[in-house]
Amino acid sequence: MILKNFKWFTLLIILFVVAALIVGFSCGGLNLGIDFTGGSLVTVKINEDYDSEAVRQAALEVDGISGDVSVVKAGENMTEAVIRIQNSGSEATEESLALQMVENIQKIYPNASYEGIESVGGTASGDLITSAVMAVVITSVLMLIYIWIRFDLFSGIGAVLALVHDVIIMICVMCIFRIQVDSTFIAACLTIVGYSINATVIIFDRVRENMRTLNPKEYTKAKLLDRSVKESLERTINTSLTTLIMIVALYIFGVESIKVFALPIIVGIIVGTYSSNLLAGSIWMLLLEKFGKQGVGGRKRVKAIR
Amino acid sequence: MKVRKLLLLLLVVILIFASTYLVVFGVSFGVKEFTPLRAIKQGLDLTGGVSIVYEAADPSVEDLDTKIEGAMEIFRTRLDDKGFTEATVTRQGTSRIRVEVPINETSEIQDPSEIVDFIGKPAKLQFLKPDGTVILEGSDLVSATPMVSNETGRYVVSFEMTQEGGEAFAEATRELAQASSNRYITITLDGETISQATVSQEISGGSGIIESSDFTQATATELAMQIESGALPLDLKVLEQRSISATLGDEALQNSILGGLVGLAVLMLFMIVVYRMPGLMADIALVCYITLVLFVLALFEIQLTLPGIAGIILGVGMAVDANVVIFARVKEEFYTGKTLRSSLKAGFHKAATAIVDSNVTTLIAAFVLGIYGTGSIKGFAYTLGISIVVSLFTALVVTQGLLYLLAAIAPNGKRMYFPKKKVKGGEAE
Repeated sequence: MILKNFKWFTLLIILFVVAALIVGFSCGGLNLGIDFTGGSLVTVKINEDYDSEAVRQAALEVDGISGDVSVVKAGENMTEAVIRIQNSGSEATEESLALQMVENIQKIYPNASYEGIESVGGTASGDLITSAVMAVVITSVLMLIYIWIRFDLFSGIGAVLALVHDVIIMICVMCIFRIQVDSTFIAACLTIVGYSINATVIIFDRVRENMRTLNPKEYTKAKLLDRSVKESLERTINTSLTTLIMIVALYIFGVESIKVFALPIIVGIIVGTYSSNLLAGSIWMLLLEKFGKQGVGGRKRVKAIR
Repeated sequence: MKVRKLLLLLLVVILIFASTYLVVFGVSFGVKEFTPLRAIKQGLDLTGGVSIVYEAADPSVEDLDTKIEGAMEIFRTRLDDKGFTEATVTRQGTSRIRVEVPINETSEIQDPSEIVDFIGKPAKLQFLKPDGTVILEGSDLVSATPMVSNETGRYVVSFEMTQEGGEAFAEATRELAQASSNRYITITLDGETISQATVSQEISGGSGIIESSDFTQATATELAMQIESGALPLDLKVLEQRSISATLGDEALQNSILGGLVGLAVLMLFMIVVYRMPGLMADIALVCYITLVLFVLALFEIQLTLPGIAGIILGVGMAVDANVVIFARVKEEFYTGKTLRSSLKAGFHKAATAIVDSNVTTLIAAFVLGIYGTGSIKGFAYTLGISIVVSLFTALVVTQGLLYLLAAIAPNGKRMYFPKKKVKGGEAE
């Protein structure tokens, strides 16, 4: 059933990617946070004790300032505000945005005065992305080798392709729903890489066992895969549920910085469960059918490891 | 026999909960107190502080590697001098240095930009002749101390020179003392004149003082520190300076802990409802897991960051996963008509390969991230790695041990362990 419908599962992914591409092109790519784009630090002297959230709201009221705004208390007696803003592509210069913002703040704190502006670069842009991509590539290669040793080459390819799928779909979801991507998204992707491979290997373990024990004449590859996925289903559902319980609780109770980390993980767990159950095994079986030796010899490719 | 096993089971459970109590609330031996939970180092996002990224102004400079390493060493010295012993200095990429300084109420400097100024100052000290030739540089000095001058009552910085520095200084002062005019030495710091002194006689002996009308106790102390730590071997520019407020950190930490606890409570309930007694044993193993992870974090002084907390919480998911895999297997075996004990044995055996293989692959990810990741990603990788290893232990050893004990005590209460087998419409699998 899974193998037979593999083309539909794949089609669904392709449609999703196409949708993401359309949204991406019409909205100008991903909704990148200040970590990637850079922005400005505006210093405002409030001259009295103030509420960070009120200042943040005042900043957000300005047309052209959106999304990632943070307020840090500084200066003597913490009466200065260092506000981090991001120019969301409006024509206005950052300084004019800052001055408008100060006007808004003055409505709440009349003694506030503008101190200065300083632009900051996006630190996440170069190094971080390069090192993250490097990390994923190296991880994938090492995982491929490990699964190759423990199972066979085709299963390794299937597992790694499923991982690639997970990361791509996570990026697509961020793009379609215009969720802000900041540097913690990279950590979230890496988390899912670790989580999803876990689920895939559990199912592969079942396939491996069934290959050894079940009669190959009665069980074609398609039937074998269906049975293995079905047998693992209880584990799949319960583990996904327990992990989701933890991460959703974190999302509900967490502050903003935790939320932006938890949300992609929630998406990733769902996406990872999809790929582990419906994609990875199918790719393995299809490759085995196409390139592996047929019949009993093919079965023997999976070593009897206990 | 059964009584002994029951006592053993109780003992193990009490031991687990007692160690949890010790890790969280600590233990005191008379005056000495030891609370592992408090020994866990908190990352910058939890404590609040400032994070600064410096970049080499000219990355094509010769010996970039050595110079960056040298600058990092100087940063560390300067931060230590100011009492920021918790600060971290790490290299990023080839030409960047990230400095993270936690700031709390007891810190000497509260203003982040002051810290940036202090540690990032090139501190290139030069003693110049009137014609601009360099007599001495900061590296020719071995020590510098701030003090109050006996004559003027003003703050000065006294210094000792190296052997060669002393000789060069003596020669230059002798020359200047004999000159007909322009008999002064200019002392500059980063190109700015801080002091100018007229030379009336040869100064030998290898020591001297820097006087400046601008010196206060603070500036004199700072200059002395900067001279002692040495000049930065290359020009650095501030690429990014980011302040993280402690209030946000505090709130974030408390909320994450609350979120974790609520999630944990729901999860434990879920396990008991779905898996009954084995679920309860898994919950006890989970408590053991959390205790061990916290203890290891404290023991190896691993910095706990927000993503790090997420790593631990994800680890909880993984620890439960191992139990779920085992229980599903044991249940299957039991439904084939085996006794409780032999289905436990067969279930654990069959689940073991799946658990080991799946955790090793995740461990590979944590390992690579630990090496290639930066900053908070590294923190995440460490906690994830620890979580996986500990969860393997709690699932394969603790849960298994508890279940065997329980099976020995109560081998017959079937419904205590497994729900009735559901028979689906004619399917006999």
